[in-house]
Amino acid sequence: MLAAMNEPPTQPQTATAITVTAPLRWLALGWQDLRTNPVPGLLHGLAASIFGMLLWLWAGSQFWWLVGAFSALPLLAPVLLVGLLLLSRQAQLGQRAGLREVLRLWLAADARMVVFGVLLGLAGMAWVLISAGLLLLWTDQAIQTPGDFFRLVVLADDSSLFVLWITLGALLAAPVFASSVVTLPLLLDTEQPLPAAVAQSWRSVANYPVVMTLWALLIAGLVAIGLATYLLGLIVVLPWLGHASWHAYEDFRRAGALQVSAPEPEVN
Amino acid sequence: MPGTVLGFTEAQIASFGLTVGLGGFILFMLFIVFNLARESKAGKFGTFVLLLVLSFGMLGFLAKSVIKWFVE
Repeated sequence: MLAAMNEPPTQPQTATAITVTAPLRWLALGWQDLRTNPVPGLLHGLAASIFGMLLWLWAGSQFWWLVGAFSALPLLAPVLLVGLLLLSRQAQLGQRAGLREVLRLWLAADARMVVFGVLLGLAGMAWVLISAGLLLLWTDQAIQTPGDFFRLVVLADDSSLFVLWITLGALLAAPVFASSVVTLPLLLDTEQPLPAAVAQSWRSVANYPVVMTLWALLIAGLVAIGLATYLLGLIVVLPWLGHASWHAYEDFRRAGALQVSAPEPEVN
Repeated sequence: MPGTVLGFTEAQIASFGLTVGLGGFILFMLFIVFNLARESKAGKFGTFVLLLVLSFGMLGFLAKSVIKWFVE
């Protein structure tokens, strides 16, 4: 399966400069992919949205379950969206892929992607624990429901807890984002080991800090809109971001910022 | 028309000022953060972390104010 995915792209490779407007171009290209082949992408989004709604119904009054699930969502989303990366990749190769191909990719259970998913899950769990600890230490009232969180943290006259909470979240999100932003497309497109792919992802972020900050803010903003619309927005937002992520990777690859082929063996 | 400046009412001017002014202020804050990262020699990844954390904090604060304004 992976060998088949490692066919060289057939389209002419033109280097694209990565400027601050690049994230908007990735979104535009991702939107184009979603419009060209909407069904598999929207089904991904629908599944995530229904899962979120069921979780809400089940755990609506058990706030920590909700915090855990929704905090982990942006961290785990890259793993769920690997199918969308495949769809965009195949579209770029001039092939129309569907759910069958996505299912084959999932069933292949690439160990690198499984390990990566577990690591992201652990990062999500760490955030939940840090977040819970902070809120418990700061407020003297129990937070049991989303309404309590809204009243005691978001609507509080004193903004310091909310700003501290969101800043801590960003501090944890920074290394997670840096570790994942181009890792999954790299794993999909090449046979590089996981540590090498993660290292390349960190290098991309370090080399383009402003562009990557803008990209992270756009992702966070769109996911926030998806969540704020009673999760209905996620039906469109998740596949859109998934397709756009492929184009982000493509831009970095074409700009020569990523090493996609195995290093040449040294000849003595 | 009485009570207008160049055909715009006071409410319209205030609305333009708020939109453009707030946008400009956010850009200025981001510039300060970027400059801070550069001058403190935070390194490339440090620059990313500083930009991300401070812009998240700033936008979070903004979002909180907007939500509060809507709810109240």
